[in-house]
Amino acid sequence: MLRRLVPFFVLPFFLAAQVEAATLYIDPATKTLGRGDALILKVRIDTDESVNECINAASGVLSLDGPINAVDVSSGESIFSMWVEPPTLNPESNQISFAGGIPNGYCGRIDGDPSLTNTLFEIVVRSDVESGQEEAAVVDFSKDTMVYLNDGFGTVAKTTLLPTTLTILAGASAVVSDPWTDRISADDNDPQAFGIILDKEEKAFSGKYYISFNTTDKETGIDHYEVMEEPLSQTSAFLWGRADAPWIESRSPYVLEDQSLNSVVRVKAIDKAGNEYIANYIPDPELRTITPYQILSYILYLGLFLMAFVFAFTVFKRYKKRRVDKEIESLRTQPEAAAQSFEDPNDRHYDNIQ
Amino acid sequence: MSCSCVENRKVVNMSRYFLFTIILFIIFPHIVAAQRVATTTLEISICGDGVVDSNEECDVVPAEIGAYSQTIAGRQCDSMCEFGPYCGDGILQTVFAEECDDGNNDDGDFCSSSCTVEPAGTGGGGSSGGGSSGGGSEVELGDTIINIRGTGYPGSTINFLLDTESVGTVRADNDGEFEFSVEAEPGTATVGVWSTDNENVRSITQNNTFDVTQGAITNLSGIILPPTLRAENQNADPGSQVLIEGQGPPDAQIEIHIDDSDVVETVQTNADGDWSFLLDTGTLAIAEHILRARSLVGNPPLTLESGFSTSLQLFVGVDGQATQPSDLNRDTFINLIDFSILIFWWQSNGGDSDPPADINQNGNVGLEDFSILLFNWTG
Repeated sequence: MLRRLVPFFVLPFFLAAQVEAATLYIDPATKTLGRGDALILKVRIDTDESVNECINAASGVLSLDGPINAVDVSSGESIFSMWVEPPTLNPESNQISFAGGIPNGYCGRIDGDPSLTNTLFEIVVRSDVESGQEEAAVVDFSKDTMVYLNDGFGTVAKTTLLPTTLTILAGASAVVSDPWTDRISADDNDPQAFGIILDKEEKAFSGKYYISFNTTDKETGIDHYEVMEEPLSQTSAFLWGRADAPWIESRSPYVLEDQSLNSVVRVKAIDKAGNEYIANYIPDPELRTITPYQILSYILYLGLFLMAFVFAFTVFKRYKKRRVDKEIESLRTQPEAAAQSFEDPNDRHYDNIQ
Repeated sequence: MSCSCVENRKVVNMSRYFLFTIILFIIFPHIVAAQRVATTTLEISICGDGVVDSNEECDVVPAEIGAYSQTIAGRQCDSMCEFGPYCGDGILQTVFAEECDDGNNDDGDFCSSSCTVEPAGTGGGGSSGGGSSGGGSEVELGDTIINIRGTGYPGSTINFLLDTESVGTVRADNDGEFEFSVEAEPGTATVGVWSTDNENVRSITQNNTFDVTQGAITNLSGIILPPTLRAENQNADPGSQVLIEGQGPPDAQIEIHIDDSDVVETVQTNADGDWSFLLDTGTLAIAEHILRARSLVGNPPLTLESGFSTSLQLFVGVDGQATQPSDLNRDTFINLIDFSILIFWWQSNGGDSDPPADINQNGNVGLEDFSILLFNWTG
């Protein structure tokens, strides 16, 4: 915490107490739910501020035990922006796995921060509808959940893991609580604007062009991404692909199908509420290349052009020949016609023109 | 006669009183002594009469107290006539079930008048971005801005990242002070600040994560950029001296922490922020050591401290190679592209990647390498 005022005489104490321990916990720690109620649990992290501890990555698995089920996850309020594995539900095992991080680290709460901004992600849980007796449900971290220090060496931080215990009542509440649905209904903001980065690495992705992209949605969180490669021009002679190029659900990094870079690349980020933001990338013309398919297209179109030319030439030649023949024919029949045309209706006489 | 009787009675009474006092003094000496010196000043004040007395911070009649009071004092004055913790004091009190506290009791600015988080869009307007619409906008809000103030290295270029994306630079003045403003989306934001020193050595990126209030200017002040740290030689013979140097705020104290702060050396920066220290490795064990530094600005007893600098590996009497940077595509930046390459090699041995995706060379591209890459992130 930069703004902490530190009396000098206290510093030696701080420096001596080098027990770095982050705390991963679930908020709220306890809660009572009626049958069918939904609840948003926040997975939070505290750093050990007494030693200026900063963390930058965490991974692990959360298990739900008891009459509750995880119905959704959200990274909308997360301090993590990079996810190796975004929080993912496994309905069969009733577990959530995650692995993500924050570039340059998270060093704890700043004095005066109006909110508790230490959320890694949120889990939406719902209690079983079947009424029975009052039961307890526990959401806990697996033992191999790990937090990494922002020290440049990938050091694993000593971590305290705190579970949450929920009391599930025998019956339903008077009004069934569903805060997640309310939040989704209220989210009408698009994901944050983002860009697409094109790159090519000799020793990765088989040397192919690939794109990278990443964004966040600060309300309900990103649900998924979709990618489209749309041909640059539908009227071009060198057309491949389809006018109705499909959106393909994907993740970053994405290896482009069109390695000749003759397609506009579009990436759509969709949040949990269905709001979208579409980023577009038009490859640099200098990077575009001609593929064997394009060469085939060239040959094909050249062939068609030549055929058309030959056809047109032939037609023109025949037309010309027919016209000449017609002129000759007309010249042969001209004396007769001329003689007829030079007969004066007023009996005036003209010499025939030979 | 009667007078003399009265006087005699007084004398008798006084004698009795004197005797009683002596007996009391013998039995309860401290009480008697206290009675002799005690002075009492009584003052009556009534909490709830609407009059702020000298021992009260506030006083509002009970009918006007509460979260729905029409007056600020009514909302903020507690039943003990003190400005106790309240919703709108700008201090988050989770023990009172506050989800947020943005220092006001307005709705529609992401934090409601009752200190619960409001969904985005309820405020209408807002600054930026791709929002589809502003929802019910009974309040016209201004731009959402983050204003950043702090101290870095004199004359250096200060770089700013907002949510990992570079958003601009500004030059620090001769005192190392800088100020920068940027529009932002409301909600949780992370501002990163970094610079390079006069030897072109890059500082650590100082990250600050906090909540940005919609339609308001969020001031982030008091940033002290951690100092840079470099050594002329990271492989030293035992007993030799190694020059450790760097740059920090001008006229600041630099603490050099060795290993887990087992040893802490201090040195002063000059007016240009430069500092150097001759480290005697004779005091260190033959091993690999980790050095970190931080700045202390101000005068005791109140001092502002920076976070720690990047770590520097010092190999004393042992062979060692400093951890390689994470610039996996060699473009001098460590960003999303390097992350993509790391993902490509994820859970492999890194293959023939050059520089190695297996950054820490432990035979597996995993979270340790991810952590190192995030540490070195430049955006």
